[in-house]
Parts: sequence; C-alpha cells; structure tokens
Amino acid sequence: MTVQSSQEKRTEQTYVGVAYPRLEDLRLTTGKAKFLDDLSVPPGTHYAVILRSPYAHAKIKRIDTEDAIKVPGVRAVLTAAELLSVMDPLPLALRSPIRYYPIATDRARYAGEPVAVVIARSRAIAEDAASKVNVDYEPLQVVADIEKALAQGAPKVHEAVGSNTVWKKTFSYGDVGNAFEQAAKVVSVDVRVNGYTVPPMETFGVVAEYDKGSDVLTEWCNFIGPFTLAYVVAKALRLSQDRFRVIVPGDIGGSFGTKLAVYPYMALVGACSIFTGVPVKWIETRMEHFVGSTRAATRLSHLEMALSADGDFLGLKARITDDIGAYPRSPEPGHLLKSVSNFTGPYKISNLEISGEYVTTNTLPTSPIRAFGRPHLCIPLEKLVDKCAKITGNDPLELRRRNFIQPRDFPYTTASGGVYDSGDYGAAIEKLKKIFDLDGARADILEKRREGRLVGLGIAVGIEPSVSNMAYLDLAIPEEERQKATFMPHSGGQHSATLKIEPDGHIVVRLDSCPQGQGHETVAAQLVASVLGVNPEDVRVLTGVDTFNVSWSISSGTYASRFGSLGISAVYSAALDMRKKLAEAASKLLGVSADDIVMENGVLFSKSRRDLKISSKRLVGTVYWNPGSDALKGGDHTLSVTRTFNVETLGPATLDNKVNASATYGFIGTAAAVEVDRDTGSVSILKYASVHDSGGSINPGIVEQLCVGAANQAASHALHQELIHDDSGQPLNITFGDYYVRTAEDFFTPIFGSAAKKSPFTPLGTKGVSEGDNMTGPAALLIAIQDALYEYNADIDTVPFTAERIWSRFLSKNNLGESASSRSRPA
Amino acid sequence: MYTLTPPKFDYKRASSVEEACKLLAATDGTKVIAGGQSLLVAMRLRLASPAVLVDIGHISGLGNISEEGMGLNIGATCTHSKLARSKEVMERFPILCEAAARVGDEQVRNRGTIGGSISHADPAGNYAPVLTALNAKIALVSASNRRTIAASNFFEGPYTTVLNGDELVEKVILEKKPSSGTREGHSFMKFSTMPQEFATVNVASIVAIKDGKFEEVTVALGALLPKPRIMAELGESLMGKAASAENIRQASQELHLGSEIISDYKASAQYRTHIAKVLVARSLLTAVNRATGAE
Repeated sequence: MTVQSSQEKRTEQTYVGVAYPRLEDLRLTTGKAKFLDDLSVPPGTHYAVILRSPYAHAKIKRIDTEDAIKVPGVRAVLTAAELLSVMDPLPLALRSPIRYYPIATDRARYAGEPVAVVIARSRAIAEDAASKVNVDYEPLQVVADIEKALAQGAPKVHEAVGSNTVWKKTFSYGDVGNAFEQAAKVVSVDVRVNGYTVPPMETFGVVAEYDKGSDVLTEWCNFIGPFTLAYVVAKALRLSQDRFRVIVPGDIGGSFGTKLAVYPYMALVGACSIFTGVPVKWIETRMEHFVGSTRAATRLSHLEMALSADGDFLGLKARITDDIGAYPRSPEPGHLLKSVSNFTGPYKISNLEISGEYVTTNTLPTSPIRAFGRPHLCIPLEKLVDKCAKITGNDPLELRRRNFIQPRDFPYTTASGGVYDSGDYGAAIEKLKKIFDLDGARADILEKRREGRLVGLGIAVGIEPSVSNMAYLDLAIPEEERQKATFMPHSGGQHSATLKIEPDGHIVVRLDSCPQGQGHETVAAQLVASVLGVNPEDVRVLTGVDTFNVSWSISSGTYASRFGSLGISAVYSAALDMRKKLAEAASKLLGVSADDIVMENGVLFSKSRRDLKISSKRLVGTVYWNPGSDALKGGDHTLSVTRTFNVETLGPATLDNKVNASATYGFIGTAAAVEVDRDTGSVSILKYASVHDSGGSINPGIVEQLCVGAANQAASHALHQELIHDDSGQPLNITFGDYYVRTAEDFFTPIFGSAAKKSPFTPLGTKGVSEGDNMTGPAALLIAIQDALYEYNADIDTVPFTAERIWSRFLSKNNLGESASSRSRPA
Repeated sequence: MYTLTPPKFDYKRASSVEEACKLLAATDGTKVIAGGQSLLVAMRLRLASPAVLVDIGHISGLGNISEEGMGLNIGATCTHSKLARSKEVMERFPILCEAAARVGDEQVRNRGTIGGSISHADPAGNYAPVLTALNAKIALVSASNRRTIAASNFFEGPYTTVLNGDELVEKVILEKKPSSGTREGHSFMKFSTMPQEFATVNVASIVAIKDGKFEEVTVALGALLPKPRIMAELGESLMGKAASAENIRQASQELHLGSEIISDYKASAQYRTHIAKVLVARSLLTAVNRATGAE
C-alpha cells in the first residue's frame, strides 16, 4: 500500500487487467456452494406446492379444497379467497386498471398461473394433496398471440381495459416527417421475434418466515434485484420496508435476468407465511419454470430508414408491438422503454420516431431476459442497415462506418436523450476485421460457393448499454401526470460497497450485488488488493444482500451489466477512502502529515523520515484497541467505509420524453460465417468473432468467459430457442428435453477481441459488458444466413430461424435429386 | 401438476433374474428399474406411479456382453457407455456402438441401459431402428415363461411393447451370418437440432456389397413413425443394382412413408418425411462408402 500519488499507478495495476483465477470457483465446482435449496430453514418450515391453471383462459367457478386439507400433514390450502386478506395487487409501472396478483382471483389468464397453494409438512405430502384440490373451471376463449389479440372482436384478457392493448405511445425526436420527405430512398424491414427464455440451472426459490411478535417478514430468495421490486413486494404485502427483510444468498445458480421475476413469488410465498404463521419454503420445478416464471416478449417490428443519396441515415421510424403475456407487470413496458435512449444504436440519426404498442395475451408474463429487449431491437435494426447497404450498393461495413458516431463526438447525446460516454467504433471494426480475418473468410466463402455450398457472411454491430436508470420507466407515465408538482420523478442506478478492516487486520468487502456466476468476488478482491497493496486472497468479499444488514439501495442487485461499471466504481471508491483513512491514522500516530505517509510491505512510514514507522497490523490494532490514545483521541478512525457510486448523467426523464437509460455505452461488433445445409436447412456456424468495448477490464478472463456464454446463448436463440404454445395457449416445450439449452459439449468457442475505450464517467474507465453477443449474435447470424441463401433472395423475418423454417421457406422448392449432387455455382 | 417427488412406492432390489421375476409376479403395478433415466423422470412428474419398483441394476452379470458363436448377447443392464465403447460390439456390430454413443448426454449414457431404453420404447429412441435392421432378437423372461422375440415384433407403438407386466428384458441377441465374400457397411444417423436432443428422425442402414452391387440393403427408420419400420421396398428396389450415389438418391426419393408420420411442434410431418429421405440417402451412402473402404 502506498499513499504516494506518484506510485499509485504502479500498485493499482498489480492485479487490474489480469485474468486472475476466480476465487469462487473451488467452492462452485466442488459442490460446496450453498444455493437457495441448500440453506438451512427455520424450525417448523412447511413446504408449498403451487397448483396452476391448466387452462390459458378460464373462469374459476369454485375451488374445492376439502379433500386436500384432510391429507395428514397438510397445514393449509390457500387460494385468492384467503390470501387477498393479507395482500394487495403488485404495483405496475404503467397506469392501468389491471390488478396484478401473484395468484389468480376470479380468472386464470395463462396456463400455469397459480390458482392455489398447498402448504404441508413435506413437499411430497403437499404434492399428494395438490392432486386432491378440485377446481371447477369454465374455459374461455383464448388469445395466444399478437395478431389474434389485436383482431376485431378479439376476446379480452382483461375486461377492465376494454381491449388487449394495455399501453400505446409514440415518441418523436427531431423532425421525422422532414427526414422522410428529404429521403432519396426509404428502406424497410419486418421482423418477428418469438417469445423465448434463457433458463438458469437453479430454478426460483423462496423461503418466507413471518414473525408475529415483531411483525417482520424475512425472505430468503434467489432474487437478483433491482430492489425497487422488493419495495413492490413490501407494498403488496402491506409491510413497511423496515418490516420486510430480504436475504439473497451469495451464490445463485444462474439467472440471465430471469430471477428478477422471482418477485411475484416473494409476494405469494410471503403472503402464505403471513396467513398461516409458519415458515414456508417453495422451490420451483423445472416445468414450473417454463410455464410460470417468465420469458422475453414476443415482438413484431417494422422499421424504416430514410436515406440520403449518399447513404446517410436521415431518419428512423419504428413500429413496435410487444406481446407481454397475461399481465403487464413491472418493469414492463421496459422491453421497449429500456432501449429508447440507444434506439439508433451506434449510428448518428437525429430524427427518430418510435411507436410502441403493448398487448396482453393468454401467455406467461414477461420480464427482462439477458440484454432486456435489445436482441428485439438489434436484430431488425441491423437487418435494416444490411438491407440499406444492398439497396444503395454500398459495402455493409462502409455504410455503417459512414453513419457511425465519431470519436470526436463523445460524450454524445442521442436524439432520444441517451448520453454515450465514449467509443471508437471504426477502430473496433478494424479490430474485428483482423481477428475474424475478414479477407480470408471472404475468400473461403467464395471457394466453398464454387463447390455448390450455401455459405455466407454476416456482420452486425450494436451498443451495449450498462446500468438501469429507473427514469426510463417514467416514459410509461402520461406527460400530464409527470407535469404535476406532486409527481415524484425517478432516476439513478447506484451501487454500494462497504469495506471494513477487522481488528486483526483482515479486509472484508461487502457488496450489494447478487452474482449468479459473474465472479464479483474475484474482481472486487483484485481491485481492493491493488489499492491496499495486499493479495486478492487476503480480501474476503461477501456478495448477496441482507436488507437488514447491508448498505443497499433500490437499484441494488445484479442485472443490466451494472457491476462492471458502477459496482467496480463503488468498490474502488471505498478502497481509496480506506487508504486515506489508514494514512490519516498513521500520520497522527507518527506525528507527520498524511501526505508524507507511504506504505510498503505492511509498514507505514514517513517518506521524509523513514525511521518514523508503524506496521499496518499495529496501526489497525491501535485504532481498534486503543482509540483513546492521545494521538487518536477525538478523531473518527473507524476502519469501515461505505461508498455508493452513481453516474451523474443518470437524471430524470424530460417531458419531451428524452431519457438516459444507462450509465455507460459499450460497443460490440460481431462477424459470423455460416453454412446452410441445402438438404435440411440446418445451420452450422463456421466462424464467429466479437469485438467488445468494455472500457477496460479488471479481469479480462472473466469478461471473455461471460462473452463465450453469451455467444452460445445467442446462437441458440437465433437458431432454435422459442417458447411454443398451441392455439389454446398450452405451452408445449416445457422441459430441457424439449427446450434445448446448450451444454458444455455443444459449446462453440467464439473468437474474442477487445477494443476498449475508457469511459469518462467511471473512475477506472470500465463499462458493463457481456450482454452484447445476445444482441449482435442473432443479428449477425440472420444476415449471414440471408447471405448464404442469396440465390433464394431470402428475407428472414422470424426469430428463431429453425432448420425447418429455413427449409420450408426457401429450400423446399429444390428437390433432393438436384440438391444432393455437387454443382458449380457462381460466387 | 408440476411435481418433484414421486408418489409413494415400494422399492425392492433383486439379486438375480429369478428373484426379479418372482417380485414382478407377486404384485400388480410393479415396474422394473435399471438406470432409471426415463422412469425416474416420469415418476417425479407423476406420469408414472408404480406401486413397487424392482431394481435389476445390481444383478451381477446382467449387463455383460458375451460371445455366442459369431454373434453377441448383450445383457439388459449394459449401459449405453459400455456398449458404445465395447470392442467386441465394435468389431461385429459397429452400428450399435454408433447408436449407443448418440443416446442423450454422457451422464445419461453412463446410467441408462439398453434394456431400459427398449422397454421404455420412446419412438425417438436410438436402438429401435438399429435392432430392427440388425434383425436382433430380444429375450424376455418371467417367473413362468421364457420367450425370444424378433425386434421387429417387439415394438408396438409409442411407449408400448409386447412386454407383459410380469416380464422383463433379459438380453438382446445378435446373430451374425458367416461372410459370403461380400463387404459390409453400416450407418446410424440421427437428425436433431442439437446433437444431444431427441431425434426427429433416426435411420439405420446396413448394406452388403459384392462387385460394386448391392447384395443386401436393410434400412430401418425410427423417430418419425410410431414404431421402427424396415423400408422393404427400398431394399428391394436397390438389390442387385450398382451401389452408386445416383441409385441411392433415386431410391430415397421414392421412399413411401405412409400417413403415420408423427407431426408435432418439433417438426411437421412434411419436414420429417423430407428429412427421412435425406437421411436415408446419406446413411446409405455412408454405409456403402464404409463397405467399399471409401471411408
């Protein structure tokens, strides 16, 4: 450790930027980590099994719990009739007459919606009893997709709304009308992204214990935040926040965004404990996860670009329709609103119009899934840009480069209010060309085409925002309401870290993050070790949240790639403060000025008089054991620091609907080469590379690992993952056998590149990273497949592009005899 | 209902086939368990609720692979991994190794057994078309009876076989004819979006080539039909013809699969039919190449 500024750089670089082996991996890979289901439960814990509606839409006429309650060991069978006595609806982000409870009241609105909860001494007993609950349903007409929901006279998911449209709004920036009038060409695309999910290995779980004496409800849950939603749960359970304790364990078995949607179950299981007075544990089954947890929105988008004769992007118009399932639960309409700030991606487009419509259907409600709404945006936008290049006869990379925001433009404010921190997109593209060997790949494609093979190349770029500024959800609220003095605007996305040195000199860092494998322990330890001059192993990092014991805020949690930008910044700020505190204490004990203090090898000494020194162990000991000493008397030398970091640009939304939804804006460029099997429509990825701008990484190894995962998820999403239901709204692929998730055996290794451009908004210049491939991956694959199918003029308009879709749409016209022969084709 | 725990059941571990048969005969609602890779999943989802489980997984010798003349007997509890790596099987019936290696994932292959797989009779299972094409026999045993049945008669439809409630599969019997100067080739192919997924189409092809001509062609299809089917017409049409890519393509195109093709959200009947033709052509070509040493 040193307090001397000239030496700061040297020491801080010790572990920064190093692919340090992950400290949590031994525990995680040897089965020693404790996940929610492994935690000890309070004495007297009962187990909940949720009975769910088999119908996508039905009136619940009667629930007969008599036989179930008689099963020995059953404590209670609870329905809305009981639970609504202790529960109010979960508040929504948008204004709507819809009342969203975590259990069906008079109607079930999706197949899988909770209808009753059986609470028993064991899970097996509860499952036995659940089969004895008889529900009298009256099936109603189902609307399972957007088109049907919007059709004239369609059955309504919520009668109170009057239609299936729950929110509709047009945002206009600049002069779109003029841009399109001036346009030499207008190019448009349509894309449908089907509902999908990125399921984690560990399912949802909640243990709730209500204590009557203190009127405190404690919940252990694998909820990932944001803790705004813990507030929503407290509100629904009529608890003040000082009576609602949320404990998230330090280890969560994957999430990919899904575990934000644990919150309705926190309300449900919490209500069960309040009602019965016993602790209640609920662990979701795999099938329940598919029918009852969450999913990404189904989206129809129509995008139009106004182009100048030279290929400048003059204006962008978008018509977006999102199917968000049976209830528009918070944080919807985030699928659209979260991306408003960066809707135009890395391009300079000053005229923008976004028309959004949110539709309810009799399907599972949505919430953020890795890269919340941005795959939905990036896929059509990049398909559009690629089409613009084709139509104007430009090279797709050159057209992009021409319209990129330039390095000199940063910080750059987008038409819709996003404040981009930094970037050099042209340099990143150069790096991508290099690591992908673009020229070599092009030659290879020509060669293979000569053999008659269907091969193609696709490049997609995108903006990778990190951190959520809650302000974006205010866009869902009508301007009239936002204008009133009584309206409380929202903003911010702060992250906290507490650093403490224990009396024996050991360092403990407490984060308010809920990591699901992202390696926060390692990254925080590397950083603190660098600032305080110790080894990462000497820094104990605690993750997870306990709202009664951890400094947290409403944005706490791990989502929106926030750790890499704000989390790291909070840890770093706390470490710098601690270093200052140690120097001050040492200066008093040694009788020199704090500026004069240097620390080397565990000893603090005066640099002007090297004989004046004290070991850090004695220093810490003195602070703890002898604070009444003459030197320290009267001062505050507690060796505990909590720092909360926020980025100043995260302000409230304006009345003209501009908002900066994220703190940092990285860049990603992805290139993919694919081969389509002419006979089957199956796609093989021949080569895949991404260049990321993370602003610089504390641990580049971890960043790369996260991106490998994202690229593989991207491929799955692009090529086969979708949640399928039949016309009656019945979900069909609800096991891992039917909804296939790549395992280590199936993984491909993307080529990884970094093109870091430091952020001026964070102390170390870092930006959030690792959700980028989820956006650009499917886009690059779509473009590559269209290229491979150039002879079919393929316009891929549905994601995922399964082998059967590719075959039936494009290849099936080709008969087998012809196709199996090898033919020469012009490249 | 979305359950995690099976309903209550009794568990008995048999130490011999005789004991297992006795236990099976003793109570109704008894089910045999070995690797449990399909049954346990069904029980946990409460799709199956046997009163008693008879575990044959610990019967010594029941998973052995033994030589019988030029043929092989494969014990019921032989795991997919063991089968996939067996030298004896690889030498005589390599197609069976190929099929075993493509069952599920490594964990499933380490626990799951051939007897369990065929008794479960998932139409997407790998063994059904292979055993049918190999003209394998399946030895069944009960407390009162012993019988041997051809694989082609064993499977009756999705998840149904000729097995009686008190019977269990004891072994799979594979016979091998003495070589008649022909060169043999085989190929098993599975079509699925990802390699470890259940198949939408399975094909087993076995050919014998003499002087560049088909002496024998057996093609069995699985996964797209309720039960495996030998494509007899295809075999007949190719018999005696030159083992050329062109002949194979033509014959594959003329494949008639009837109206029983499974159609679901994973693949439409039309697509499955098309894939079957593609896969038959590819597997036949591979089998021919293997026979003639081109591969």
